[in-house]
Amino acid sequence: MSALNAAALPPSIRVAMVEDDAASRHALADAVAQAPGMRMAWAAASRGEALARLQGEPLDVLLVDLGLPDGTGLDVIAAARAALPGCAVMVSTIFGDETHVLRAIEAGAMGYVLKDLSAAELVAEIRSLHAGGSPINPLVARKLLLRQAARAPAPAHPPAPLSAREAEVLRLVARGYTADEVAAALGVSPHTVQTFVRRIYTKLQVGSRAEAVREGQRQGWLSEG
Amino acid sequence: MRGENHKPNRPLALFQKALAALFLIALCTLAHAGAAHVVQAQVWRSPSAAWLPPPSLQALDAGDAALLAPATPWQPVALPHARARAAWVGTGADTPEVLWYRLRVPADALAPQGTRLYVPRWQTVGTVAVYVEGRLAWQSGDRVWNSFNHPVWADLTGLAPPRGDAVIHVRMASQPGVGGALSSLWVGPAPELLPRWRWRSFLQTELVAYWRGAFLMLGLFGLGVAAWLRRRRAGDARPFVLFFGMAVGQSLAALLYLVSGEGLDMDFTWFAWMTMAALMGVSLCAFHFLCLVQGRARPRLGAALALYVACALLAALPSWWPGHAAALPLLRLLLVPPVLVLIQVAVSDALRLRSPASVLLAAWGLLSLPMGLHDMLMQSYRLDVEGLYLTPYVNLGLLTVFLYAAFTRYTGALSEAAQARATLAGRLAAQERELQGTHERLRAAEREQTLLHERQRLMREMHDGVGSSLMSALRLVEHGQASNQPVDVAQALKECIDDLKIAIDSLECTDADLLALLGALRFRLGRRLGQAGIALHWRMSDLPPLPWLDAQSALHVLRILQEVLTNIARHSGARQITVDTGVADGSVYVRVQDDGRPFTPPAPDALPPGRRGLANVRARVQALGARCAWAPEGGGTAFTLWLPLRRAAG
Repeated sequence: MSALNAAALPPSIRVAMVEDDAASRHALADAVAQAPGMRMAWAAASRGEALARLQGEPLDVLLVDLGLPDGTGLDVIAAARAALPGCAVMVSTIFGDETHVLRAIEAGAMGYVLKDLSAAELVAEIRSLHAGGSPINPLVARKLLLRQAARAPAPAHPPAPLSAREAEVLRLVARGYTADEVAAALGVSPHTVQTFVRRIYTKLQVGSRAEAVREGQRQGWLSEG
Repeated sequence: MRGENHKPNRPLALFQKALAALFLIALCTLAHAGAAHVVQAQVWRSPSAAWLPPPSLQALDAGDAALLAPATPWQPVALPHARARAAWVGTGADTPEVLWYRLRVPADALAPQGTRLYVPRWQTVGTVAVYVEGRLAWQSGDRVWNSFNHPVWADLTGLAPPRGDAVIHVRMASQPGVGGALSSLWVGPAPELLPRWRWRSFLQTELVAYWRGAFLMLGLFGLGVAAWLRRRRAGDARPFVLFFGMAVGQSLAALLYLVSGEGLDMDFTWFAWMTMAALMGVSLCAFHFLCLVQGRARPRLGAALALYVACALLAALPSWWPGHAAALPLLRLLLVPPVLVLIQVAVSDALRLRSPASVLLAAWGLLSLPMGLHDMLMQSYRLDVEGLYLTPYVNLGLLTVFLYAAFTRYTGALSEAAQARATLAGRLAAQERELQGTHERLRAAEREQTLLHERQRLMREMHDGVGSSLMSALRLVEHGQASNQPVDVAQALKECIDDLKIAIDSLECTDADLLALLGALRFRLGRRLGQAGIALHWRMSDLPPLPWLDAQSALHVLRILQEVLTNIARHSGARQITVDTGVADGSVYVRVQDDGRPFTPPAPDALPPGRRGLANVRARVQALGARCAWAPEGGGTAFTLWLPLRRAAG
């Protein structure tokens, strides 16, 4: 369905962001405005504003900061996943540390962007994400591997097991190899590696997705009339 | 009586029926009472000198020839009939005193089939034979092995006359002077007499035999316990050995009452001596057993008793006594002193201890005196010979009481042990609680300590790491403003952020995984190196876990490598950096090789003020217990950091 939509959509990538820091907001808005084939749909400064804006026009990429003045960005991520299934959500973080990234991914994010990226790097990340690739770093990869190894104390929704290929990607990334190096080692393109990562993230969300939809209905994020 | 009551009262009717049934049973019993109890007889002293009874009254010897003659002077006597023992039985000629009894059995007690003769007791040293209508119906066995304690039970089938009364003759040949006795006789249908005979047999022999067997088994068990105690050295084995001795002695002594008229394959005089020796042994064992169990030693009395027993047994040896069998009842008086000693011991212990077992023992001991007297009188025919000999019960009863005493002592010891265990368990639990409390306090202190250390570490890191970087950035900007030179503020701030990120990474738990730590470092610094135009070649090989790699050590490793990489980027002009890992000489190494200007570190004490970072590296390497070295390699420099696999505690 998302493939069909993508084909029918106008060529420009519609980007939105939730960020309470005005400087960061303006920097990103500028970067997106400069980039060809990309436009800023909206930028919200709070959780409440973002939840309201989600009911509007469809989006391709949404950047969400977790620490918002009126609540956590995780709510926005979950609501976006429920309201806009075709939208790739990214969490915006300073450190890219596994705690924040993993919680965001479980809530429905498809990746993360570091806040200190340059404008060019940021635009590249947005394009990559829109193309179906997800970024990953050694800290997150290692945590995912450890989770996979310790599946015994299963939570309510145990994650689906990883394939051997996916586990190998995580193993190499955890040791510090970049996506390009991993691609070379596995004999695939860098983009393929990033789609592996996207798949890994999706598996992580299988359980939490249903939860998010239920929660969204309960909270009234989903406008069903 | 049965016709009187016709009330429709159900319980009453039931009661009446039960009464009627009892009445009927009693009537039946009376109706079948066809047995004759013969209590009158006639006696005649025969001049016969034959020990062996004639095979029938048709074959009488010269002495007995006058038996059937009408002129024979029969004297009427009442049964049971006893002839007293002479005060002193001489060494004894071998000619017997023969006494004939003649008695009449009424015809209604006789049937062609199933008639039995039951004689509760006869007793003498000699032979006895019973003739019915002139034919031999029963005779005793050996002359001295007399089965005085086995009642006579003889089948009279075919011996009774077809009609009319039957005449029974009993011939008793006794050793001169020993006396003799014949109880009353019963003749009648077997079902009538069976209960009497059975009960007497049971009480006189079978019960005693069972009891004796049970005690022998218990004695063997006691011996087993004693052996076990001795091997394990777990307690005093002596009471158990003594109990075994009593059981064996009692077992031998009881044979006197159990052995049948056919005797044993041994000389009777020795048998009699043996039973006496057994009884003496029992009394010795019992004496020591009591002293041990009641917890009071009597060494002098014990020695005296042992001496007496030895002397008495020596004196009673059959070798000294030609007419030993006849003198036996007198010799048995030798048993009286040990019994008196035992009773005295039991009574004094009972007075001292006042425990149920000791009182019971003393009471039974005192009771044994009249019982022993009873048997002695019975044996000398001064009491009704139809009574029961009580001595076997005395001894077996004593054994039972001993057993009871041992049992109470054993259960007492058990409950004492249980109490001791309970006390011990309570003390253990208290100690465990105390230990747990101490443990809790220790853990709380440890937590406090850990928190304090971590806080100190973070403070140091803020001061030396991030704080210091920020301060450098500030100085740089101020200096730039002052000298009007362009300053890359963004670069300075980015380096500050890198410092901060690395500090954050060190807080993440890496579980002794050095490769994960290096991965995080590359994630932090790789981009910056790339921007500086340096190609980073990453060659990781598997490494063993480093158990000592905690947050503090992780930060040291990160800072060392950060310093090295930053220095290369800033000062060497390198284009390529290769980072690889491996294991060599019991260490894990991380090597950073560049192709820039060769770098030779100055001596530690000659560091120029501008190279504080190098001092920092050395301090951190030392804190890790690691080694590092710079060496020229391939036109550039190779920095190697060797980390120990294990680090000494502390």
